[in-house]
This record gives sequence, C-alpha cells and structure tokens, in this order.
Amino acid sequence: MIAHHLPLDMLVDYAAGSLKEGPALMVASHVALCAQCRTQVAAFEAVGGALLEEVRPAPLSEGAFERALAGIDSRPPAMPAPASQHDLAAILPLPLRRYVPAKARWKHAGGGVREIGLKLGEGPHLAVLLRIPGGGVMAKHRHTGLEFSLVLQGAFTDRGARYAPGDVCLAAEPEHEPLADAGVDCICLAVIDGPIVLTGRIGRLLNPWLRLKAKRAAARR
Amino acid sequence: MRAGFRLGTAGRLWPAQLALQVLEKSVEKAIQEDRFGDLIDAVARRRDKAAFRELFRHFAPRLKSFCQRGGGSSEAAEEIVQEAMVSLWRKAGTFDRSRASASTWIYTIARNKRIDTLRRAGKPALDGDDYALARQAPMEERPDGMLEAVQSQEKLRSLLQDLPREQRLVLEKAYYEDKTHSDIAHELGLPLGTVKSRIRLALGRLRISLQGVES
Ligand SMILES: [Zn+2]
Repeated sequence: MIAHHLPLDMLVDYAAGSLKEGPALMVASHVALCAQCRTQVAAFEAVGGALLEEVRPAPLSEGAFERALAGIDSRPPAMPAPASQHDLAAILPLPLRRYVPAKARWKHAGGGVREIGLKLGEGPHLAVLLRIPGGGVMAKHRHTGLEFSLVLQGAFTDRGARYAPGDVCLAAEPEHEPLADAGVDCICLAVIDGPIVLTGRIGRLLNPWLRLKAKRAAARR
Repeated sequence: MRAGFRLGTAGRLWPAQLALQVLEKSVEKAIQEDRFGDLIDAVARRRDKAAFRELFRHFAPRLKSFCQRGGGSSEAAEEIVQEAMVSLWRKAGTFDRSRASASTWIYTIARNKRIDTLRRAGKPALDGDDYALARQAPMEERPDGMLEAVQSQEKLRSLLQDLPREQRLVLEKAYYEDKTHSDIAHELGLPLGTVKSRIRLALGRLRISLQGVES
C-alpha cells in the first residue's frame, strides 16, 4: 500500500507535458508503481484531450496527408524498448530501465552508500540511484531545491515517517538524514532540483560525484 | 437503466426525466465521438488507410493548432503533427478505449512527440508506451470503462466551456503552452499558491476528483 504520493501539481504538469526530464522520470516511475496517481494522471490527460477538441483547427500545408502516408509506408514499426540486462531490472519500473545501462556499476559514495548516476539530456536536475545498506544512514545533507526519493527496494525512515517501495519522500529545505530499515539494502531513485550541500562530518568528505554534477547542473542553468 | 430515473406522472416531465433526455443526447454524441475509437481500431486491425485519412482530417489540424499555441512556427508544428500521426498509425494496436477516449489518447501521443522534439539533442523522451507497458499495478476498477471514458470526455468539454476565464487561462497555459505551475506564476506575476489553487479550482469544476491531496 503506497502511503506517500507525489504532489498534485507535479502530476498536472506531467500530464500537461511541461515537466523537465528529471521530474518527469520521477513521475513516470512512481506512476508505474502507483494505481492512485496513475488514475489521477489519466484524468488530467483527459483534460488535455478535451482541450485538443476545443482548439480551432489550423489548416495544414498542401500535401500534408500524402506526406503522412509516405511516412507510414516507409518507416519500420517501432521496436519495443530493449529490456535492461542490468541485475536491477527486476526492481526498476519500466520508464527507469532505459536510464540504467546494462554495464552500470555501483560506485562508492562514502559512508557505505553507493550510487549509480543517471544521464539526463535536459534540465538542471540530478538523477541518481542510491543504495543504502540495511540499517545504514544516508549522510546528513541539505539542498537548495527539492529532493524526491522513490523507494524501489527496502525501506527507510526520515523525520518520523516510514517509506516503503513505491513511496515518494519529498524533502524540501531542512537538513535530513534518512535511516534505512535493517535487512535488505534500501535502493531509491533520487531526483534533486538544485545543488546539494553536504553537511555533517561524513558529508563533507562524501560524494564527489554529486558535487561535480551539482556544479555542472548549476553551470547549465 | 440506472437508479434515480423515474418516470413522471400525468405527463409532466420530472427533472429526472429531463436529465435522462440530456443524458441520451450526450450518449448520442458519445457514440458519435467514439467513431474515432472505431477508426483507430480499423487502423489497428486492418491497416485501413481510409480510416487513417478520416482521423487525419479531424485531428491533424487540431494538433497543429494545439502545437502552435505553445509559440512554435507553423513548420515546427506540422513536423510534430506528422510524427504524431505516423505514431498513431503504428501504435493503434495499443489504444484501449476503456482507459482513454480517442482524443485523449491522441493528445498524449502528440504531447510525447512534442517532448521528444524538445529533447532531441538528448535522450528520447519517456514514451507513453513505456508507461503503458509499465502498468505493474492495476488501474483502479472501472466497470463500463469504455462508455465512461467517452461520456466523461463529452461532459468535460461542456464543463470546460463554463469555466471562469481566469481558471481557463491557467489551464490553457499549462496544456497548450507547456508551462509548469511556477512558469505560469512567473509569467502572470502571481504567487505560486494562487496558480495552484486556480488550477485546483478548475479541476474541481471539471469534476475531477483530487485524491490524496497534500499541502
Ligand atoms: Zn501515488
């Protein structure tokens, strides 16, 4: 049972097609696991469908239909997206799989936490898979923007709430320090909007990759 | 026949009966609208080019207009229309009218194509198919899904037309112009909270139930 969902306005923005790639990946991944949010997104998409019927039609240039016909005759049918061969594939919702190449390896991020950076083609966001050992702590950190974490395996507790697979933890300003349940490693998709600032003793040493990405992201803005 | 509709006595039309007549009209329209659903099925099953032509005639000019509202050139909009219509042809087999009306399904195809175009430099966008295939948890139960999806589409359109102007405006900016809540707030010089509440009010008027609303 999923207890922690995405904010409604993010689902609207997703349905309207205005989200950048990082947050769109977060929504698509959560929605793949969450029937409630999927139903909600479908309702918002229906608004898009109704608005499409509402526009005044614009005339197309001459021969447009013939070009479309040529298009359907010449192009091969779409191939299904190749399934990721990565060991993680079983726990990755489909939209996320193509972001995790078969050869992706966990890298040490310090403090026992490991990570796989995901490549985004657009926007100022960072996307990363994090793996916190069972019973472990993610270094204390804060961010200038929002951080969304979607649990894919295991569970963690943060500021008094528990997050299990499918749940999204939304961390805004204050510093936080998620604690993984004992048992299996906790694996999350984290999407971060705005540079991360690591605090605390481990944090200062931790995570050169995230720091580098944050700098690049700031430069891309 | 649904519960709640009773025949009036002495030749008077009771409100319930009037409602029934209105309902019948909208069902008529709904059936008419689902002609597009049938056409998509014809494309899926028989690779029917005449059906494709009819779909093109209805949707392509609307898609073009829709794309241009976002500020793109006529050429760029047509490019997206072409891609979307070819995509419609290829993916017709994945159309499921119990989940979405024809226009909603086509809207999502065009939306994804538009995102693809924007991200062309990078990675192909999250395709709607991905997420269709990714249905790992079942959709919430919807008995009579097909009729409901189509009917609610008709109802949505008439409710849209009755929206107060300021609510309609924010919806149009979100959907036509691809603006996020914060983009809209910035553009209109409004606090983000105001934009959020306008969009929620609009969705409420469209009788879209907002579940698990936080903050
Ligand atoms: Zn949800």
